[in-house]
Amino acid sequence: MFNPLNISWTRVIDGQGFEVAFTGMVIVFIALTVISLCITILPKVITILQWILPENIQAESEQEPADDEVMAAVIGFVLDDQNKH
Amino acid sequence: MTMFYEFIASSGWSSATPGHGLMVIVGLIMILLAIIRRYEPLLLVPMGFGVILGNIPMPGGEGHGVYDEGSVLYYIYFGVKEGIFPALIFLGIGAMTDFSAMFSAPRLVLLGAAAQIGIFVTMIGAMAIGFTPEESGAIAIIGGADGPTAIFLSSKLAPHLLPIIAIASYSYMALVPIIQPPIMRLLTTRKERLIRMQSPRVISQREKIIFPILAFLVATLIAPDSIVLLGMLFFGNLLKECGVTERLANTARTSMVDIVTILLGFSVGASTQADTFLSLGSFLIFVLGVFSFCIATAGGIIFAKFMNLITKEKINPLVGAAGVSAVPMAARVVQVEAHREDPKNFVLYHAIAPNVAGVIGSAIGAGILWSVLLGS
Repeated sequence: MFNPLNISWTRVIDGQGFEVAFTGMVIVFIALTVISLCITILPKVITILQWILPENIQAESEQEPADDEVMAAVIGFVLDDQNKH
Repeated sequence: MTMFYEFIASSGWSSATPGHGLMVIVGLIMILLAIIRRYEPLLLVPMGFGVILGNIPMPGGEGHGVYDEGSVLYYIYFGVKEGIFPALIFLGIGAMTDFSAMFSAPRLVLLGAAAQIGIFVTMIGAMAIGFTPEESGAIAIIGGADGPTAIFLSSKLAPHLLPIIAIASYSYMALVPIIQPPIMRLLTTRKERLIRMQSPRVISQREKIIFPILAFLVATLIAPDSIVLLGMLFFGNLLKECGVTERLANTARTSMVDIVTILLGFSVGASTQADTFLSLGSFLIFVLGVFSFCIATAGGIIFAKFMNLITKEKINPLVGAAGVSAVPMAARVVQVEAHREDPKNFVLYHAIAPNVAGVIGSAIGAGILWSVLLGS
């Protein structure tokens, strides 16, 4: 039964709490460090693998803007123009 | 007259207890907080109503609740207790997440790792005060600040604590703007909060397509038990980024995630019973949850300060607080705090990097706890 006033480190040792905590943190760090390293070298790898991954994959930003975005741009221009005058 | 007394005996009033009444009030408070204060309304409204529904007293042992096999609620709750709904929510999260902030500054990913210390320190604390190792692991994941992960892990390690852990997780995610700022101000100097970070680079679409596949392989080969959550997360992200499955990605991040959120929130609320919720154990879980959050926030900030000692290009330590995976609320809080010191300092984009890295880190942490603690 738990009792916040009766902290027992024996329970932590019996449950291998320290080992699990240390190992868990190390694994999380290793995994994210490896992901971080992969992200760092990814642009160089892509350059080498140009022939498999051509550049003409259309980026999201290069796609035709949606009609709503065009409308918003027009409205914004008109309002700005009106404010100036 | 006999018929009238029989009718009374068959009504809910005959088996109502003060516990039922209190839980109905708890459910009403959750709904009010959602509607009036706008605290996580998409979750608190279904959960609050679920709490009310789950605590309507049933006469004579009749059962229509989540624990009564054969009832409708039992079959809806199946998705929670078997970890199906959290996995589907991760699919939707992946379909709405942009990982490009991580590409701009890969070193910020480590802040997401550092913030996961909240999980493991809390696990030790929970064991020390008497929770079993499985219960401790389930409680500790609250510090991951990730609702689906918390529900997934507690459904595996400590299903009896799932309702309280779910409510604690989502409550603290909603309270991030209140819990984090004092810790951020305590652990950083004004000079540190004024640090401006380098502008992000342009990310190619090819990087965005390759990343989910590569990150999935790396993470799951290191921690295979995180395959369910990370698999769904990166699958959803690939649907979004590959450019040829926009319809699927759109469905995943809108209709699908909304449907699952409704069913998950409602059934988790309905599973919250007075005898488990109104207890010392639940109070301790709430206390441990906030402790876990605080340690996670502090861990990210302190690690950012440590990185500033060894790297030339300085990191604004506030960004470390975004390592808790409450996306995007934690990143927004970081921006607000940085803006308070310097209105022209925009750290939001940088803060998103540890924020999304924290999602990956907490899923890996959950996988580790699941594999190590189950059956211990």
